[in-house]
Amino acid sequence: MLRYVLKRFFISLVTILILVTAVFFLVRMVPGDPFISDKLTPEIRENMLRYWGFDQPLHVQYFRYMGNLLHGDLGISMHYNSVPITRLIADSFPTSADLGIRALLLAFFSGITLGIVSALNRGKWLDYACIIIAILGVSLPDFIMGYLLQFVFGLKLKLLPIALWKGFKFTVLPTFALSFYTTALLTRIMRASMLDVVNQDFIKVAKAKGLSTFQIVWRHQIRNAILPVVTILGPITAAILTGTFVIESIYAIPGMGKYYVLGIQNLDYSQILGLTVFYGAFLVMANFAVDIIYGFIDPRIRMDRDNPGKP
Amino acid sequence: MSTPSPSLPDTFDATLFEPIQDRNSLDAERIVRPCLSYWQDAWIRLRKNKIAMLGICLIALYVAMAVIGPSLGSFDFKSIDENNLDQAPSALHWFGTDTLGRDIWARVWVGARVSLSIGFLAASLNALIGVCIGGVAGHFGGRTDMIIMRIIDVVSGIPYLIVAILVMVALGEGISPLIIAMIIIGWVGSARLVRGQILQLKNQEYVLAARKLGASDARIIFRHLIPNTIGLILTNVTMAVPYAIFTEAFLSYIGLGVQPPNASWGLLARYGSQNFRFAPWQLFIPSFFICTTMLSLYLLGDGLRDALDPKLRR
Amino acid sequence: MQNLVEIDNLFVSFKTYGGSVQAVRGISLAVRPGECLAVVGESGCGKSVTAQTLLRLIPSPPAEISGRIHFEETDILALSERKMKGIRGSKIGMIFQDPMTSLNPTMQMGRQITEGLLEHNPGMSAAEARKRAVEVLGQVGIPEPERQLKRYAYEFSGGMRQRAVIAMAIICRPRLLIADEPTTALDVTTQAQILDLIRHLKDETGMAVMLITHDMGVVSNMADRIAVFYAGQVVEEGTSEAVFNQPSHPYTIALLRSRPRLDRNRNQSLVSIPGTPPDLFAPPAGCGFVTRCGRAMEICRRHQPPQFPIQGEHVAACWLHHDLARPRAGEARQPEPEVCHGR
Repeated sequence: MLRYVLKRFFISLVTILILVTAVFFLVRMVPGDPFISDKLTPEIRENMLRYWGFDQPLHVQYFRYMGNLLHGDLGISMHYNSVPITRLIADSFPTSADLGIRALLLAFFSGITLGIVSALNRGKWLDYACIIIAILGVSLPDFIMGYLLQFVFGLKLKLLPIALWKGFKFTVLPTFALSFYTTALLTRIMRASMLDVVNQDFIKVAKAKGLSTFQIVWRHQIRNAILPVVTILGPITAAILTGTFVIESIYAIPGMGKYYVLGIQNLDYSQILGLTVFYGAFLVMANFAVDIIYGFIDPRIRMDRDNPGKP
Repeated sequence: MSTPSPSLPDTFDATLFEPIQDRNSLDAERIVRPCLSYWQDAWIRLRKNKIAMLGICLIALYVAMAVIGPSLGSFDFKSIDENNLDQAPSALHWFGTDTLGRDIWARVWVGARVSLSIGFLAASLNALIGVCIGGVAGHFGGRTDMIIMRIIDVVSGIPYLIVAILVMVALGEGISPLIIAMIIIGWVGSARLVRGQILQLKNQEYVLAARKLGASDARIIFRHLIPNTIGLILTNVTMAVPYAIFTEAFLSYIGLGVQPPNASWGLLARYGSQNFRFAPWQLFIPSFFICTTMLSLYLLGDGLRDALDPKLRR
Repeated sequence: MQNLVEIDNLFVSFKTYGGSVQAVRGISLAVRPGECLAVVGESGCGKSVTAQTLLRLIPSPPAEISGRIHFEETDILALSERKMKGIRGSKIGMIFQDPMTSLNPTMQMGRQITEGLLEHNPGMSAAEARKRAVEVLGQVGIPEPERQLKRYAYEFSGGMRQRAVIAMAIICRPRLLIADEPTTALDVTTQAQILDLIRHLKDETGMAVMLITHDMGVVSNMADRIAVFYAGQVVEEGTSEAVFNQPSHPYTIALLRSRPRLDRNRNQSLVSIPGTPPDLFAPPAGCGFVTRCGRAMEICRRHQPPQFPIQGEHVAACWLHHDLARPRAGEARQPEPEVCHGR
């Protein structure tokens, strides 16, 4: 187990390193000078250039950049009058995290439940209902869902608020919009996994032992069916995270995503890159955490990950 | 212990106990079901799946409309009609007009060309690159495989959309950077798939048997590995297209990607969302097409996967 | 002596896309207490379906089941699902073919072994259950049983897993153990060990064994009685001795002849039975073996043969044993089949 954890940790570190390096080089690929903007006073421009080290030889630039990162300095925003990026993050990330966690939990529990219900009632109307929800869900990009919900529940029915983040009522629509795609995905996967597991021999054996249906489903079927779901928790977190970009914009939620999108639209390179490094590192760490969770749940994985199924 | 079936008569004619002379007539006893090839069987199964067929028809319809749609309406996608800004759908402008007075019907179908072609192109390129890399990894095995798997591990740890955004930001807007952005990480899925297939097939007995009989490596690849893998790749590509379309829509929506005056569905959604409160059709019409395209492709992909699954052969 | 299991005129068919498959077509069998009945036949002949129907493991739509199955006086087919669960695992145990997939990969061994025991004995404590588990693991020959309880399936070899599976099946001391191809997925040495184990357990505990297999070699050491299945029907039945010494159905004879033997001349080709079993979507009106039998007669293709007595309880369902088939001028009574080579 320890070997497995170390291996995943090492890979995560390498990934972050590559990401950060990629960001470093991409800045230099932008045609022209990325820091030309009317809003920048000459001194700020000076600071920027010094932060990114454009006036130095390349390898010095790189080390300075890495040094900055290790000190937690992600640079300054151009657009917001040299507010340090880290300040932006500290202010807005908690809100995004709040939204994200709610959406993740909602998606996880509803997706898995719907998947189980669907698989256990295979062929009946309940199954079809769940399948339809699932298929619709993966076809509806989150920004479209976001507007749709705003339109129906906010504008037409006037049931729920559609902007800002000031209380529980405000969280309902954004959370739902953000989670819908993931719920649908999890429903599909869980359903397929349950149906897959039910055909395996050890389920027959469990039946032949005279166990109750509940025990068979709960202890044998679900426990094994949930493995593929845990595997994709990493990409799911990424999907929800990138979903926050648009949902926050649509619902005017003061989270980090909104700043990210604004940064992109304003071509505020400093902001874009600083936030990207943060997002990237965050997701890599999240993937790492998921890998560890998976290691706990599936004892086989501690043996050989590249060839699952081989002891 | 068992009782003789009641339909047996009590006595028999002795001639019945002569050995059968004409043994060939026994072949008629055997009811043989027609033997279909793998692809024939798959096609039949796919055809029977009405939902998947619906998906194919819809996609075909959209493709056809992408080609002829703009010319069906009376307006060009670029021309501005200053008297008719933000009009709701009407007999004149079938899908209404946007803020600049441009005909949405025309823009939707021009956008269709862009969105659909980017979607298919990106998905196919992903599959191609993935097949090559996965194929190399699977076939050569050993150290090559290990190195490639490490690369895949690292690359897939990097969030896809974030990399896409970064690339777009660096390379500027437009269609080529968009495609580059989409394939730079997208190949990982099919690479893994192909590699997995090859490793699995490598160990299966008929490959060992073929090797023993002296088949060369190339023959093994062509006759055995490829037919088995093509089905999976096909399904994979079909499922990857909607994701590519979504990515294009997403990137165009946040401002990267396709730029005006060109149109793509994502771009139309973006401008439509700005007026969404009083002119919701501007957003919902392109959104409708994005969603139905993705839906059709997913249904088709599901149908393909079921049709090509050898375990479901009947 | 009263029969432990009585199956009478069992029919099982499945509705599928292509039509209705008749997997079991009128099977009648009995298992006596403490005996080993071997059920022999090739793939698809209905032996597994029969065994699973005995435990009602086959969901009843889409399957259609008719006939009579009795276990120790209880009418199995009429039993409620709840009562049936009371029988499964406690009165009748079953083991399956592939030990690699018969165990839950994410559950500890000890738990898997004891859960059946705890289910059927609600008053039992966890500690008692563990004790019994250790005891039964020892019985099946697994070394250091206490240590194995915490392990997972992937840590065991194939032979050990099958032993563990057997332990799971016998932990409640069932009266009958159904073994569905228990050795097919194992290598030859392990096969012998597992069969020895089963025989040993049977002798020690007096439980009956229904051994399902396609391998006649496996049968010879183990079985008290043999039932030969073909195309969903019993074509021959009798004591092991009788069937081996006086095989009376062409299929049985062909099976016996087709075993690879070390004492044959190396140049002799392996004997196989040409042809394939009949399509059970549309089963033939007559004998199922008619297209592959060298002695087929006109009546064979028209009517299904009933079981003809050979000697004592030894019966065979073949028209060759009808009076009218008795050879006229001095041919041997026992049919000499011409198994057709290369038609």
